[in-house]
Order: sequence, then C-alpha cells, then structure tokens
Amino acid sequence: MRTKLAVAAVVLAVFPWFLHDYGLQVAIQALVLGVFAMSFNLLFRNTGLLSFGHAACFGAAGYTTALLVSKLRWSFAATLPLALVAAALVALVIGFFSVRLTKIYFTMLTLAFSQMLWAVAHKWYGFTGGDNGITGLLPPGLLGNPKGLYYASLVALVLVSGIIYIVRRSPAGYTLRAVRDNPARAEAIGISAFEYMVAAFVLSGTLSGLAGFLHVAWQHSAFPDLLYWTTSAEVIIAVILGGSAEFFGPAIGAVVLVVLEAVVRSHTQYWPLALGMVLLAMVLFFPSGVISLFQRRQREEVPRAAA
Amino acid sequence: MPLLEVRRVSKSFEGFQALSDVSLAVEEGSLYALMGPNGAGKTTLFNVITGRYTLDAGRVLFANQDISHTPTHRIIHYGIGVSFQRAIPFPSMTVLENVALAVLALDRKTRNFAHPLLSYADAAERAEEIISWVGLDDLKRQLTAALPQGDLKRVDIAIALASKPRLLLLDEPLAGLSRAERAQMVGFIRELLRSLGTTLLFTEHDTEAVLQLAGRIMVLHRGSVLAEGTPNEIRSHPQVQEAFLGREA
Amino acid sequence: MTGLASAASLFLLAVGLSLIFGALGIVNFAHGSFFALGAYFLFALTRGDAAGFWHYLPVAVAASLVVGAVVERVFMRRVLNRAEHYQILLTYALLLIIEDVSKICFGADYKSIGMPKGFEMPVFVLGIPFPSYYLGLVGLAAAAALLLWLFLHRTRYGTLVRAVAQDREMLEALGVNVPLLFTVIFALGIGLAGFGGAVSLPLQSISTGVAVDAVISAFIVVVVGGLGSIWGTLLGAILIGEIQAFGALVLPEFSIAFTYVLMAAVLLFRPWGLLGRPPAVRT
Repeated sequence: MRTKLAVAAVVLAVFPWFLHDYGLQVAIQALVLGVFAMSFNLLFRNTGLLSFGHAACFGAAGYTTALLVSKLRWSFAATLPLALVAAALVALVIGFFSVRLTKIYFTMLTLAFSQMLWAVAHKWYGFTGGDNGITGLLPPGLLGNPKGLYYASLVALVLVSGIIYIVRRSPAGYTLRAVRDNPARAEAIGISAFEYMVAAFVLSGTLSGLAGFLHVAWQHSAFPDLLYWTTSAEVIIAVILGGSAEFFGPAIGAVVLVVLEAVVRSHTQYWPLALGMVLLAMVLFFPSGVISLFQRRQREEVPRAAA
Repeated sequence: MPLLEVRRVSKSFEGFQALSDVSLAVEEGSLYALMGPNGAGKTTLFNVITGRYTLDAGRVLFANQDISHTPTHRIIHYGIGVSFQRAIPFPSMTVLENVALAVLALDRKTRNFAHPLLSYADAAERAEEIISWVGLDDLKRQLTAALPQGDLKRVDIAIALASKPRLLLLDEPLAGLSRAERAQMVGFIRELLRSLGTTLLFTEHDTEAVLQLAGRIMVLHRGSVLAEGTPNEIRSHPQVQEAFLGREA
Repeated sequence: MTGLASAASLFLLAVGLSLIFGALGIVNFAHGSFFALGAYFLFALTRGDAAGFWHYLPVAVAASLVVGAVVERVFMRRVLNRAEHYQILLTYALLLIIEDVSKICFGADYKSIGMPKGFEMPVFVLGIPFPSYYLGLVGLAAAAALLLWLFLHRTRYGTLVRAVAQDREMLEALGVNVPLLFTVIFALGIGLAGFGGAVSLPLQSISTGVAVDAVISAFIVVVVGGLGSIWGTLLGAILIGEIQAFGALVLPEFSIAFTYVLMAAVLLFRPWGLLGRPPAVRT
C-alpha cells in the first residue's frame, strides 16, 4: 500500500509537466471533483446517508468566493476561510434538520434544501446575477496559473484524504459506522447518533466547500448550476463509479468520470447518453465500482489499525 | 429493595394492547426469566425498560431511580445492558473494535475525531480482558461480519459486558444455537451471575432451560401476567400447565 | 385558474411516481423523462397539428405504457432488492439516455401544439379570458384520478396493488404473480406520466431539459402529499400549482423557492406527507 501511494504521489507530482494545456485543464477538473467526491464519501461511507444536498455546500463556498471577489474586491485566496465557513454553516443547517430522517426521506430533505439555495441564486439577479452567474473572476498568482492551480488542488486532495483517514480510525469514526451498521445496538451501548451525524455532515460539507472554492478558481466564474441537484448527482456518480467502499475509490471515480467526459465530448455531443450507458452497465454489471474490476476478490472494509 | 422494578406498566400500538398492567421486581443478584409465546409482550417489556418505547401508563424504577422516560442511549449509564435476540453486532468492525468501542462509549470518550480508536490503551486492554472472559481470544481480530451465530451471541454479550452493567437484559440467548452451543451458553449465563455478580433478566422459549436456570419466572400471555413465582410454583401452576407446559412436554 | 391547470398537469406527472414508490419502493428519477416522452410521442404522431390531438392521444399513452413495461422488465427488476443508491443511479442513467435519445429523434428545439378540437375559444372567468383548455386539462386529470381510485379501491387487482406495498411476502405466499404485478404498476405509473405529458403539450411547450425540472416538481408534490397516497398527491399538486401561480404574481423572483420551503417544512414536521400514513410502529 505504501509503495503504491508513493508511486501515485510521484506520478501526480510530475504529471503536469507532460501535459498540454487542455490536458492540464482536464486534470484540474478531475482533482477538484476528486476532492468533492472524497468529501462526500466521508459522510456516505461512514453513515450510510445518501445526501442529495452536497451541491449546496459546494455552491455556497463557490458563491461566497465569487461574491467577495466581485463585490468587495477581496483577493481570491483570502476568501477561502469565509468560503469554508459558508459551506460549514450551510451543512450545519441542512445536517441539523436532515439527519433525523432516514433513508429516502433524508435524501429528499437534503435535496429540498439545496434546491432552495439554487432557486435563490437562480432568481436573485440583483445579488447573484441570477442565471447569468458571476463571471470574470481571475485569480491572481498561484491559483491563476494552471500548474499552480493543479498543485493547489493536489494539495487539497491530499489534505482531505488525510483528514478522512484520521477520522475513520477515530472513536467518532467508529461510532458513526456503529450507528450505520446497527442503530439499536449503538443506542444500547450509550451512543446518541444525532450529534455525530451532524458533525460528520458538517465536516463533509466543509471539505466539499474546499472543492467549490477550487472549482470557481478553475472556472473563473460561478453559476447557479453549482447548486443545482445535478451537481449532487454528479458527485454521487463519481463516488459509486469508483467504489464507495474503497478509500480512494471516489477520487478514482472522479478521474474516470472526468477523463471519460473529455474523451467522449471530443467525439460527440451526446455525452449524457454515453454517461447513461456507462451508469447502466455499472449498476447492472460491476456495482462495486471500477476498482473492483482490477481486484480478484471483493474486499470489505478492513480497518488497518487492527492489523 | 429490588434492583429493577416495573410498576403497573401498559403499552398499546394502534389499539393493540401489547402490555396491560404488568408489574415485576428483579432482586439484585438473581436470574429472572420472562416466558410466553411470541406476541405475549416479552420483547415489548424489554423495549419499555430500555426506553425504546414510551409508556402509556406505569413506571420503571432502577436502583430506586425513575427511568420511565429515559432515552435508550442513556439507559446504559444507569447500569442496564442489553443483548439482542438476533445478535448482529457491528459487522464492519473486528471483535476487538466492537468491544473497545462499547468501553469508550461507556466512558463517553467517543467524541474524539483525531486519535485512533485502539490507541486508547485502557479501553483496548479492558476490551481484551472481556473478550478472553467470553472465550473469543482467537477471533478478536476477525471481522464480526464473518462469524457464525453462536460466536456472534458471545460478541454481543461481550459488548454488553463492556458497559459494566449491573443488570443485563438478554433477549432469547439460546435462540438459533445448536445443542452444544446451548449447553455452553447456559453455563456461561450462570457464570455471569457467579463471578461478575451481574443480575440477569432474560426471555427464552426453551421451557426446560428456563426452569433450570431462573430463580424466578414470569409468564406473560397476551400482554398480561399469567403467573409469577419460583420454577416450582410455575411448574405446578394450573393455567401455565394448561397453556404451555402441557403442549411443550 | 392557471394554478389549477398546472396542478392538473403536476398531478398526472406525480401520481405515477407516487404509485411506483408506494409499491416498488423505487424513487424514479427518470419520471420527468417519461412525462416528456409522452409529449414527444404525441407531437411526433400529430406532426404538431392540433387537429390530430384526440385521435392520437390514446396512441401516445399506449406507447408510454409499453415503454414503461419494457423498462421495468429489462432494468428495474434487477435493482428492486438492491441498495437505494443503485436504484437512484439506474433511474438517473435512464434520465440521461432518454434525454439524449429524444434529442436525436425529435430535435432539441421547442415543441408545442395548438389548442385541441373543442377548446379553441377562450372562456371568461370574472371577465378575464382563459384558454378553455385549462378546464379540459383539469377535467382530464380529475377523470384520471377518479378512474385510478376506482381501480385501486374497487377492483380485485387494485387491491393487490395496494397490498403489495404493505406486505410483498404475503402476496407471494398467496400465489400472486408479484413480478407481473410490478410490471403492471410500473407501466401504469409511466403511462400516467406519458398521459400527463401529452395532455399538457397544448399549454406548455416541451424541449430537452424539461425532464430534469419536471422530476423535481414531481418529487415536491409527492413528498408534500405523502409518498404512495393518491389523494395526497392530488392535494400536493393543487398546493404546489397554486403556490407557484400566486407566488409568480406576488414575488416572482422567489416563487420556486416557496415550493422548496413548503417541501422542507412538510418533511420536517410530517415526513410521511400531509395525507400519507406514518410508518408502522416497530414491534
């Protein structure tokens, strides 16, 4: 595992020097979606809660950055803390109300909340620019340079992965999985699930905000689509495509999804059709994600701490 | 003074009377059994004691404290542990992690998001003790998802013991076990009381096992108390004989 | 009036979603796509000429029914007992595929059709002219609701449809062909969506992108009314239709947001919906 990680790190570090401009753009997009997918999976993998509202956190951070830069002329990088705070607050509100509900009702309520934010961003022309979005945001310095943005996104991915790794092994991480595995048993040993689930939602949402920030830096703009439910759907697709049970599954799923999109789009305008076909094939034939294609045996989660 | 006292408890679901006017008293250091056919109200009574269900009427007292309206996740802090009928602990974790988590939960140390679970040396050590006490030393690094039902029951009891309960509620500890496993479990339950001093309240279908094990027995029938007393009294109780023992013998 | 007409359209869209969720437990993200497909079928059949509206409407609905049955047989059946995210992913895949296939088959431009025969003249309500087809649409939706109710509550097969939502094993034990029942229910749900799409065509033009918005509207209606309840869906549709119509008059910028606020409020206080049944108590 260590050697594999080291090889991957070296490859990712030297990668940009072998790419032309377009390739680099695709690589940045993949990393940003990777950060988003890893963050999403922090909640999904550990609690079993399928959120359809992560677009709200992603978009809230993105819009915070876009608004601060365009209205108050903040420097780009300085908006990051507030963008994360915005994502955390949105996650706190959504999480606080939603985690009480189970299964599909949770999914629907998170969807409703994020659509509320979308509706506001979409229609409030005076503040958010409505569906014209906020454009012309050119981040100066490191974030403005494609290679710089690539490395910033890579650092973000490493950071998010590290946080997820630590949380998974912590008592709180085990507590979340205990509630997911067997809520009645968890209660009987004295665990009250609510606060842990809210905490996980907030952490997951805040890290998704990091992805939202990077996305705006990459796109130089913010549009209501950031908040639309299809953005939530996209991150779910990346996670399941890669395999939510694998640590790096979501990141790998993000890379596969983004590269596939770039390749398909260069040949045809019917990318949704192709994606639909891929999803169908995946659900019907390799439900554990693309990683499972390269593994002989199906691996269930084996916590490394115990080995 | 009894350790657990249930006073005139009633509970109904949408017009179905699951428990009506049930009272019981479990003395500290005793083995108390609940008997009765499926739907008699045994599991409902457990759920009432553990706060999973709210009461329609009556009170539940534990060590002289009123716990009638205490939520389930606080019950363990009073000293009431539970082992479930269908023992499925936390399948994604190893046996050791299952038990260590229960130890930490009792000490309210699960809020930490940063340090590894097994770096809590005290908890890990105590978990290992309990695991060897229930005889699962060889399996402690195994994922519970892969264990057979007999071992799962023991893991589940180990989890319950990690919370140092004064009273342990066992829901059908013998269900789903083979003959050999049953004999082992009966010995194990006796040992719980003898060496740990844990008071036990359990439900069981196996009439013979109950009559052997229990100090006192309550027979429930359609949510009401049909009989209550020592095994000998229950054995000779006319209505019980008619309703259950006759059929089972 | 406008509110009622859009309520009628919303009801037809949402009731099938509710039916399918109630019986199969599947949340169909492609439901809006089948709504759009119904409209496309009708448009293609009539070639955009309102004269053929009544003639081809049954054909479009029949086509939707067939599509629904085929989709259930080929795809849905394989995810029935799988985790819900697979069900969501599968129906999302169908959404994407139907979207692009209809773009290829019917083109990406807006499609609309004139008022159907018998409803060419406007009616005046309080002196304000409204298309008389508003009344026609409301009538059609009411008829569909009534027929559906009669089917579910007054026929033996309808009883089975309601029962399968409660206890599937029981029906299997009784020897009912549950897989066939599922196909029928799914086809019926899709047929209703197709019918809704087709009869809404004179009032709202259709193009790609409609499906994505429509399915969310359907979710709101169903969640507000109660998953699996017909009358709840009807109530939800009327509420949402009116809120959107009045919201558009009062605060046009945020009329969409209102509906999401309503949905969130209902989920918070009555997660099972206004007329839905609270989940059975665990015993």
